Amino acid sequence: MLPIIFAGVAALLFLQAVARLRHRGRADLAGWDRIALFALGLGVTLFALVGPLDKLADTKLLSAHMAQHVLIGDLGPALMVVALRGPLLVFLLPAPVLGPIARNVRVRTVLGVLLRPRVAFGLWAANLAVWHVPYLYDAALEHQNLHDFEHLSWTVCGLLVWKLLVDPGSHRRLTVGGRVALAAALFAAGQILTDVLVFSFTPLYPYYHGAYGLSALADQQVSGLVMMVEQLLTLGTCVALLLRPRWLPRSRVATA
Amino acid sequence: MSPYAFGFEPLFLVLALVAAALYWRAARGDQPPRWRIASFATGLFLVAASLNSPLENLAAHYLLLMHLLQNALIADVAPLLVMLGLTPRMREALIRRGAGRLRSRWILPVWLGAWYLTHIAPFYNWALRTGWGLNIEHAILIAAGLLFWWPIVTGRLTPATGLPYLAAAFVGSAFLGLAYIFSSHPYYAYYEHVPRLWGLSATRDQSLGGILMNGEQTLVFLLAIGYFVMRLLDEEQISEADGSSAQS
Repeated sequence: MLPIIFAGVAALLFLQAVARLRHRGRADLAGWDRIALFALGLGVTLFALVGPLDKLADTKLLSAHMAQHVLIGDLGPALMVVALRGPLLVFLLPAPVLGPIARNVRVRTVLGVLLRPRVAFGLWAANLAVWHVPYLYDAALEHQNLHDFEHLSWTVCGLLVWKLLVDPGSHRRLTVGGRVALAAALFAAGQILTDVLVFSFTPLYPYYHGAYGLSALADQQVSGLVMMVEQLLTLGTCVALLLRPRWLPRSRVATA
Repeated sequence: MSPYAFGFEPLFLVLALVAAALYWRAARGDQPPRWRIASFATGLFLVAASLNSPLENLAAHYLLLMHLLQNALIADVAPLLVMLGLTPRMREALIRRGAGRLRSRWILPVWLGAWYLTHIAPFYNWALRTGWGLNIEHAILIAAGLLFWWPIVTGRLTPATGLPYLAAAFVGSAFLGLAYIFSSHPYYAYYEHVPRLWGLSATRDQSLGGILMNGEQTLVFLLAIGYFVMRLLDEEQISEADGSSAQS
């Protein structure tokens, strides 16, 4: 139920931002492409949390659980942040909400610290490492509140790093090279976990026993692959888009 | 014969000596820094030693794991070290002799083709059974490795083009190692009929080989990607400094 409420609030906020921008005659900044991207991001997150994937993840397959995590912690946040590029980000919160938050020094300080590249990357990597400790992983599966907190932490950490990678508000906390470096660091950190899961000769998570003809070990190896493939797709696309202007001839970059 | 006896592929010992002699001749007029000499020498040593040592005997007669270790050393690590050992003047000389015509868009598919074709079961089994076929397999891998690292080490690839080149190579080559890891049956009939060592079944041997290959490639490619990311950051710093000095 909680994910549906969160998604509903997010959808309402996004739609009012679109409506306000369009009302001001800037439909070009809040087009259908943005709506589609945000809907896709929200849909992906919801699909992972309330659909059959959630049931599979909770009861049968580690690989399904991994797919769930990469969808809510990576693909979903990435799509939503891309959808919010430009003024839409500022319009996301209604003025009576945004004003006090923007004026609150503490909130701004905390956000400023969280969005420092090293802090965001450190949090993301720590989150990845901590939640894959077998004891904690299994504990989260057995305690719903802890499980909800785990999922929330994936999404928050995902939003932090994708905010830096996409830079929807053009805050320029990182140069293009810095964003490529962050993407490479995220991939390298993810690769360590992938290697542990794929190269291990014994199942690491006692909660899962394998299902649908997959042994527990094969399931674990597939989960490593799921993470690697998803990261390659999302981070690879991000790096390709960042480097794309450098592949084009200078004349085309100038006119683009 | 003991599994740990020396095995030999003298062809590569001779080729390493010829390469060393050519380097020595070129270095007389160039005076390469010590690190380049060390890099070139280590690259040659890795080729010569992994093909003329107990590793060769273990690879050719006992364990796929050792064969894949040998292949990783001669196809990935040694060619990179050899290439890093060349001074700019040596590279220019090679460019004048035709290496300048090599294009990365052709090199990548050739390298991937060599990587997969040398590992397909009929060729691999044939090479192991004939013995001399191993010379062909190893020569292809070394040549493909040298070719692969050429555009990177010569600086012909900018960070913006080098990063996708490396990423494509990393992703494209990873499937072989993953196939070894995930397969529940041995791919190479030859290794099913050799004496078993260290209590490893043919499947476990293959799995370990895949892990080794994947681990080695992850390390090498991530280091190379890291190098290009650093170059990208350096380029930005330089253009930023140029921009601010132009403004003032």
